[in-house]
Amino acid sequence: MIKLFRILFFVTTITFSQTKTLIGVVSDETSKPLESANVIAKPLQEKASLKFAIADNKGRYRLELEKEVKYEITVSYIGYVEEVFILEPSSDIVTHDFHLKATGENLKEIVIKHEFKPIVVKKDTLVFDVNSFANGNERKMKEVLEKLPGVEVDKNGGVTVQGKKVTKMLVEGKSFFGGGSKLAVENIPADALDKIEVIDHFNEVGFMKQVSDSDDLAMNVKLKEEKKKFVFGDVEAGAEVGTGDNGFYLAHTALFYYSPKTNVSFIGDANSIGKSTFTFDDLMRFGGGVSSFLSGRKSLSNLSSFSNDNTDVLKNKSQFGAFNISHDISDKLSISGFGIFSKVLMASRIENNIEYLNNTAVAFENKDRNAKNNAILGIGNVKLDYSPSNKEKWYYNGQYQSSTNDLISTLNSVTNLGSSIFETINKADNISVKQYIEWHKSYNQNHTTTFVVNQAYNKTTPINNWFTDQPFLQGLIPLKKDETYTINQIKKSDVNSIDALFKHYWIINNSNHLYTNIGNNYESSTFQTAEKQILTDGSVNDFALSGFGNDIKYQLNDVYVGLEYKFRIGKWVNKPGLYLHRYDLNTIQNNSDYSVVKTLVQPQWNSEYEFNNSEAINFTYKLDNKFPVANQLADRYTLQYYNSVYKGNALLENEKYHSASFFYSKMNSYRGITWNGMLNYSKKTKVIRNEVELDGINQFNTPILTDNPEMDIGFNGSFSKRIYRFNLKLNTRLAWFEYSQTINDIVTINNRDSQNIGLVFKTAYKKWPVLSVGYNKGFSSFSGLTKSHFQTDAISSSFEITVLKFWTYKFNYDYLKNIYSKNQSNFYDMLDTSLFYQKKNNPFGFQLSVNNLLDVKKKYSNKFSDYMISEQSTYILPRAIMFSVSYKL
Amino acid sequence: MKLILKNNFFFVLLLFSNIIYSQAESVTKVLYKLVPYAIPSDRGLTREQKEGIVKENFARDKVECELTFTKNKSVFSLIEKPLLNRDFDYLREAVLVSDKYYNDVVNQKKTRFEELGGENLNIILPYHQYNWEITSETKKINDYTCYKAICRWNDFNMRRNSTDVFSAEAWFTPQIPSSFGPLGLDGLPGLVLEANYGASGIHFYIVKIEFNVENPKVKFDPPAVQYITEEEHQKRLAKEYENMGR
Repeated sequence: MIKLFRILFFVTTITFSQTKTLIGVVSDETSKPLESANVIAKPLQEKASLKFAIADNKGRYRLELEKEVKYEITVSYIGYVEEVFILEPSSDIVTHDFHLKATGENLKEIVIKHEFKPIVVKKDTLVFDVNSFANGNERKMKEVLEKLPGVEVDKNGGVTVQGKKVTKMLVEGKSFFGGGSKLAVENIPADALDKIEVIDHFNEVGFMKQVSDSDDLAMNVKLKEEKKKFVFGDVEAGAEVGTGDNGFYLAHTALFYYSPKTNVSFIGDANSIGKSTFTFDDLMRFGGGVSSFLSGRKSLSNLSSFSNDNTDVLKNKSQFGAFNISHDISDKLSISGFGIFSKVLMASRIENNIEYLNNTAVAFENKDRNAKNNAILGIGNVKLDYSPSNKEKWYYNGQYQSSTNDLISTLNSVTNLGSSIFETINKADNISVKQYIEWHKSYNQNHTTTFVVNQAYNKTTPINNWFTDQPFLQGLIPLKKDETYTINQIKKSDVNSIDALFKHYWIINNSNHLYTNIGNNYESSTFQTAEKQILTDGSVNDFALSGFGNDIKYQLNDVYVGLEYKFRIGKWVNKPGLYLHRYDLNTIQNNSDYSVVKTLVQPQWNSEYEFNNSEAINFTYKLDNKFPVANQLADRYTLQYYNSVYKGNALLENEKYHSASFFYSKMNSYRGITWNGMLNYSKKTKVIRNEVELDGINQFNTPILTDNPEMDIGFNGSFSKRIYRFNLKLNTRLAWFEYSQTINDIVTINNRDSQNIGLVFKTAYKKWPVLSVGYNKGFSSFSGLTKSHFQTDAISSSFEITVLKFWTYKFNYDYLKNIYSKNQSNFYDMLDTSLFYQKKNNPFGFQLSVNNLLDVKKKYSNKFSDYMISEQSTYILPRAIMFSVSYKL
Repeated sequence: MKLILKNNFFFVLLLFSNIIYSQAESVTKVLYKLVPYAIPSDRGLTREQKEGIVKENFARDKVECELTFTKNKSVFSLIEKPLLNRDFDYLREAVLVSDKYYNDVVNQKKTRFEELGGENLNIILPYHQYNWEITSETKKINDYTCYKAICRWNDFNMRRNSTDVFSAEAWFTPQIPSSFGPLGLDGLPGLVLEANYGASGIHFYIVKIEFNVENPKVKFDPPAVQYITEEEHQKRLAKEYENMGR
C-alpha cells in the first residue's frame, strides 16, 4: 500500500513543476508513530487540487504541494482527534509533525446512520424514434423493429437488442395481453408506433454480469397519441383437398382490441380435424384464477383440455368461442373477466381384445364400442385485483360453469360363451360456482401474512339408460326375465365446500424463519343413486328392493394448525414442519349415522443444499392422510357398467401414507453438460383398495381398508451433453409398484415394474434447421398369481426448416411397437407434415398440411392385471390433407 | 533506565487498549447495503411499473455485503442467506453483487471469484485497477468527513460491440485508514463509505463497522480454483452468450 502512494507521488511530481514538499511524522501524544494515518491538504483557493499522503510504518508522510497556494492540512486517524494545520502560500515551512490526542473512545462497533439519496432510475434507456427508421410501408411492429440498429426479431417473435433478449414487452408501461413479445411484435400496427424504449439495467457495468434469466431487458412501446386504440387479429380458414371426402374444415379467428385502459380479446374456432382451439399463450391469458395457496380444491377451472389436439377419435366437430376483457378502473383497482362457450361433437370407436387369465368360465372377450358424444360447456369468470397500498393486495375471483354432456354408445361383446349388444344413453348435467378471496400483506421485512378463502359448489346429475338383448350381470342385479332389457339409472351429486387458510411468515433472522398456518377445510355433500328396470309391458322393477340405490349425506371437516421452522447449518437449509389435524367425518344413510373423529399428526421435512448456482440437492418427506369420498362410503349397490357392480363401505376410514422424494441437479453450461436425477418413494400403510369378485366377465367391487402396505418407487434420470452444435440426451425411467389385491377372497401381493431408457439427438444451433431424433426402449412386467412381460420400442423424430426466407416446412414422425406375451406384437406410426408460405410484409399466409399421412386407422395400447391382458385399438381420424389461408388484420 | 522501562511497559499497556492495527492482525468488518431506487412521481409511471420498483426495493433491502480486512488483506463478499432460496426477487438483486473480491497488498494481487456457466473461476485483476481522481467535493457521513473520488475508463462493451466510457464513484473517509472498498473499489486513502458503479443498480452505503472482530471466520485467500485472465474471461462470456442464443 505504501508502494502505491510512493508511485502516486512520483507521478504528481512529474506533472507539476511549481511544487514544494512538506514532510513530517504523525504520532500520538506519546510520540508513537501512527501508521497509515491520512494526511489531506485541501487548497483554500480555486484551481488547485487536493493532495494526499499516507503515513508509513514510522509515521512519516510526504506531501507534494503547489507553491503559492494556501492549504488546510488535516490529519485524521480513527480513535484520535483530528488535527488541522494551515500552510500559508508564502510560507517556507518544509516540515511539520502532527501529534494526535486519543479520543479515549474504545471503539468496538460503529453504526452509521446514513442519509442517502435513493438512486434515480438512471437505467440506461435507449430511445428509438420510429419516424427516423421506418419508411411508412411497414404493416406490423415486427418490420419496424427489424429496421432499428442492433435489434433482431426471430421467427418465434422473440426480440433481442444488441444480443440481449427482451424478457418484458410493455406497451404504454403495461404488459400486453399477458406479456410475451410474440403477440405484440406480430400484431401491433406499425403506424401506431411513436417511440420504442429499451430499458437496460446494466449497460454501464464493465463486466458482463451473469447470463441467467434474471437479466431483465424491458422494451416499452410508446404509441402515437391519436393511435392509442386499435384492433388487430388473425383469421384463418381451410378445407380438405385431394381425394379424401371426409368434409374436413377449419376456421379460426383471434381478434384483439387494445386501448391503454381496456383490453378485449376474442377467439373463435370451428374445426373438424380435432385441432386444439387454444394456443399455450391463450391458455395463460385465460387461465388466471388459481389460488396457489390452497391444496386440493384450488383450481377454479382446468382449461388445458382446450389446448390439446384430440385426434384419437373417428369424428371430431367442435365450435368454440371465448372472449377476455381486462380494464383498469383506477390506479389501485383492476377488473378482468372471460367467457367461454364450447360445443363438441365426437364419434369414437374402441376395440378391446381381452384374454382372461385363470378364469374357469371365460377365456376371452372381444369388445367393440362405438360412441357418439355431444358436449356443451359455458364458463363465465370475473377477477378483481385491488392494491390499496404498496404492501397490501386483495384478489377476488369468481367463476360460474355449466355443462351438459350427451353420450350414446353401442357395445358389442363376444366371448366364448356367446355374444351380446349393449346400448347406453348417458346424459350428464353439471353446474358449478366457485370463488375465492385472497389477501396478502407485508408489514415489514420480517412479517408477511396471507389469508385465503375458497368456496365451491358443484352439482352433477348423470342419467344413464342401458338397453340390451341378453340378460347380463347374472346374480349381481335383480333382473326380471324379458324379451329385451331396459335399465334406467339416475345419479345426483351435490358438493359444497369452504376452505380457509391463514399463513404468517416470520423472518426471525438470517438463520431462522418461522411459518405458521391455521386453516379449515369443510365439505358437505349429498350423493344419490337409483336404478330400475323398465319392462316391455311398461311395469317397473325397482332395484331398490334388492339393496340398490344410495342416499348419503356426507360431511368432512378438517381443522388444522401447522408450524414450519426453516433454519440453516452453514449453507444447508432445513425446514421441518408439524401439522396437527382434527378430522371430523360424518355420514348419514339408511337411517344410520356414522362418525369418525380423528386427531392426527402430520409431520414433514424439507432439506436443501445448494452447492452453488448450478448444483443443488433436495429432499422432502411428508406424512399424509386421505379420507374417503361420498361414493366410497355409500353402502348400497350401484350399477357401474355392463359388467360391473359396486358397493361402497360405510365403515371406511382414512388412508395413511408416507411420501419422500430426492432430487439432484447439476448444470455446467460452459461445457454443455446437465445432470438430473429424481427419486420418488411412497408407502401407504393404510390403504383403501377394491376387493374384486370375478364371475366370468362380471365384476363386483367393494372398497376395504387394509393394513397391507402399498409401495411405489420411481426414478427419473437424465444426462445431456452439447457436442459442437448438437445436443445428445440420455434418459432413464424406472418404476416399481407393489400392492395387495383380493380377488375372489384370495389375497395376493402384486408387483408392477417397468424400465425405460431413451436417447435423443438434436441440433442446437439457431442458424440451422431444427432436427430431433429419439429412440426409447421400454420393459414392463407384472407378477402376482400370473406373470406377464411387455416390451415397447418407440421412435420419434421432428424436423423444421425455412427455405428461401418465406417457405417453412415441418415434419413429425412417431412409431410405437408393443411386444407382449407369446411374442405377439402390434405397432403403428404417425406422420404429420406441413408447408407454409408467407411473403414478407404480406398479410396473407398459405398452408398445406397433411395429418396422418400414412392413413393409419388405429392406435394400439396394452393393459394388464392379475386376471386379464387387454390389447386396445383406438380408431383415429383418417388422413386429412388441408389447405388453409390466413389473413392478418 | 528502570524508570524508562517501567514507563514503557505502562505505555505499551495504554497503547494496547487504543491500538487498532496491532501486530497480531486485527480484523475489521464493514457491512454495506444497497441504495434503493427512487420512485419518480412525475414521469407518469403506470401502477405496474411503480409496483415493480417497490418490489425491487423490498428485495434490495435484504441484500447485505461484507468487507473484511486486516492491514494487508481484504475480502469482499455477499452475506449468504440460504433461507431466502425461494425468494426470487431477492435472488435477482443479490446476483448483482455476488462475486467475491480478494486483495493482497503485500503480493500486489487482486482477484475476483465468480461462477460462470457452472465453472468456478478466479479472474486476475490489475492490482491498480482504478485510477482514482480525488475531487475536493466533501460531505459528512455521520461524523466522518468524506471526499469524493471518481474514476473513468474506456472499455469494450461486448453487447454494444463498441468502446464505451464506464465510471465509478466513491466517497471515502481518510479518518479510517484502509485502502479497501466494496466490490473491488480499492486504492483510496481511506475507507470507502459509499460507492456506486456507473449508472447500474450497484450503489453501496455503509451500515456499520466492527473493529477487532474476534472470530472473523473468513478466508483471506482466494479458493483453490483455476486462475484466468480478463481476456480469457471475455472469451468465455462470449461463448456463454452464444450458448444462450441457441
